Amino acid sequence: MHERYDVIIVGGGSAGCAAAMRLSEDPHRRVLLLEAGPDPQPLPELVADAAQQTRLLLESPYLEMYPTPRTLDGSIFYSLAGRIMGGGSSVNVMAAPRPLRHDLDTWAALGNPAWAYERTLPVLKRMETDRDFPDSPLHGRDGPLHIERPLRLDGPLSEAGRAFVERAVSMGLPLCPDLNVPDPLGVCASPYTMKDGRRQSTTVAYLDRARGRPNLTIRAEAPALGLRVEGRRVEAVYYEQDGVRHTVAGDQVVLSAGVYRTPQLLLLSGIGPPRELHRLGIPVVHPLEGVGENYQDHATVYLTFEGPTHFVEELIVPRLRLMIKSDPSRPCGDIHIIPRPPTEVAGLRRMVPVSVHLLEQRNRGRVYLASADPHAQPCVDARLLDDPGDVEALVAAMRFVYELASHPTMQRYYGALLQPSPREDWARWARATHDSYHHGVGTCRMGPASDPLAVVDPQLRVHGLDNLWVADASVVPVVPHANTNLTAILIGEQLSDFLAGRA
Amino acid sequence: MQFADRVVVRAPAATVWDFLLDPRALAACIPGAEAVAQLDDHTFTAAIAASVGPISGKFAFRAQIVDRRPPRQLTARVEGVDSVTRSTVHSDTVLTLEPLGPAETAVNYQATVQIQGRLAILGEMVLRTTAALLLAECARRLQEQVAARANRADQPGS
Repeated sequence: MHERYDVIIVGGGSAGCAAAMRLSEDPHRRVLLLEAGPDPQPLPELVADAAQQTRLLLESPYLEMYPTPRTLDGSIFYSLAGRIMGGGSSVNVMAAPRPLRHDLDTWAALGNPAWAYERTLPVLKRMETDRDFPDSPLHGRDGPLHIERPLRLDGPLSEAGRAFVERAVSMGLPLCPDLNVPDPLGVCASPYTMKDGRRQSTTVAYLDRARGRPNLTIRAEAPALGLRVEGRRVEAVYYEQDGVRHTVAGDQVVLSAGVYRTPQLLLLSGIGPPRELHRLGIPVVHPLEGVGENYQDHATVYLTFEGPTHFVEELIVPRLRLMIKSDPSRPCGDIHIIPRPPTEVAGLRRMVPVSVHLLEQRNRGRVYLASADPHAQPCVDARLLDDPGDVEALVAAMRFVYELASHPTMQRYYGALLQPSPREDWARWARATHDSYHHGVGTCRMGPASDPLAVVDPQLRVHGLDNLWVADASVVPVVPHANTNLTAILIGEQLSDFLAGRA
Repeated sequence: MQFADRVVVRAPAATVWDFLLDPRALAACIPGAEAVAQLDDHTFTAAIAASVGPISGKFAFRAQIVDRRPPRQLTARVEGVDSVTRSTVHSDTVLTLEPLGPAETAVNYQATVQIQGRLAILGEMVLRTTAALLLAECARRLQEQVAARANRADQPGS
């Protein structure tokens, strides 16, 4: 007889930790949380101290890098995921924009009514304590996740910051003091999951509140290997710890292993497109065409300008962000623009990048397996900037940045454009050099049974199975026009309501 | 990452060729190179200081001529490690000389840069421009210093 729980959550990332905390609030519900990465206690300063975020990305062992080819020439960039309790929320840059009203209403229009903005807003509010807008009807004041805007448009701004804001306003952008309104646009103060300089990952904000509960069992460094499905039910979850294979059973099983590992676990368990499973030599247990399909991400390019001769500390204003429409006819802002810190290399001119992020993907990529080995990384085929409409939108935004930075009022901060050259083909350059904004979603998309590629129903239950759910960024049908961490946490919160019968 | 460009040097092809085979002369073309040490006739080591936002580090590397096809083409290999992430950078640059006249030579270069390790995350944000500027600055110095050498050779009594 195997060890048995009421709920097993596979993956302690942004969604998994939120779900584990909510579901273990009922002391009668026995919850097991399995995490592939470590759960270091106390948290190393590299993770806990918000000021060390760049060092965390560059130096910590908690990051998984997925080589991802560009379609144009096969050159590689890296898609990233956290491999530590808290997942992405423990390693990301802590950006906390919400999905837009347009995004959630789009999901609803695709047959997922529980996700409409008006129905989701109460959940978005209960998630957070917004330091800056506690009295706003849009915001929460006593949720677990502390949100703050380190830079406020009504607060003191550096000379460089002010010049940047004034220049953007002179180009017709409105001021947007809160990026988390339903339809943000313009010069935005960015919200972050930070509190007094400390990272508010879902480990800190959610899981730490539940660690003492006797009905919550946490196992770290325990990667799942697959599921045993009999008929319409998951009868067992296989995982590994200290080199030993374990089997555990749950009345309800939730996969929250992320956009890359969740489809991998389904495929390894024989749940997926039959042709793919045949190719891998895995017996088909439950055919589902959409597993691994529908992958979407945000493409990023960097315009690099020559920097000023004198170091301008205040130029480091990544807390400031522009949200623009690449074309006035777009239904919502589809581009983020972020000034980035300067790079200095001895003997060279100083370089100051501005990043441009396309917040949608018209075509779709996929995540697939090279082998049936559960220890192998899944493969990511993002196919970013394959669609001419995406390229056109990104190039329009690059032109906007060039125009912004080339104005006389900006010359103290931004000199000549070093890359791309003003003369070269920017569309081709974008396709050859783009990176990821690290917002991959969609590989187990949510939708009604009539949607042939839907993997889960609007309540996140896997189509055709009685006790298996997916709760992470995999279920997102269309990538939101926002950084995706809050979206992932929202999915964990929603799942807890669905499982507990509260929604 | 791939880079290609061309510079025109006011010197005969033979002078450019000799210059490229001289490790000390070549090291002097690399901006910001510190602690240059010649290991043998075609190898030297050096380091470059760099900072990205709040993070500062050093890139220690070894440069070597790995292929020579006199009198027109050679390949220079640079292999290095950055001090912060211990990522490795490997680049091969193929230089091809094209005589334009008795005292003028075009130097065409094609470089491939590969980064292994965490530094690759910052690749597109900072490394592409850094590599492009570094190559352009090397080419500019090469142009200047080869021309100066050619000039000295032309002086009577030299």
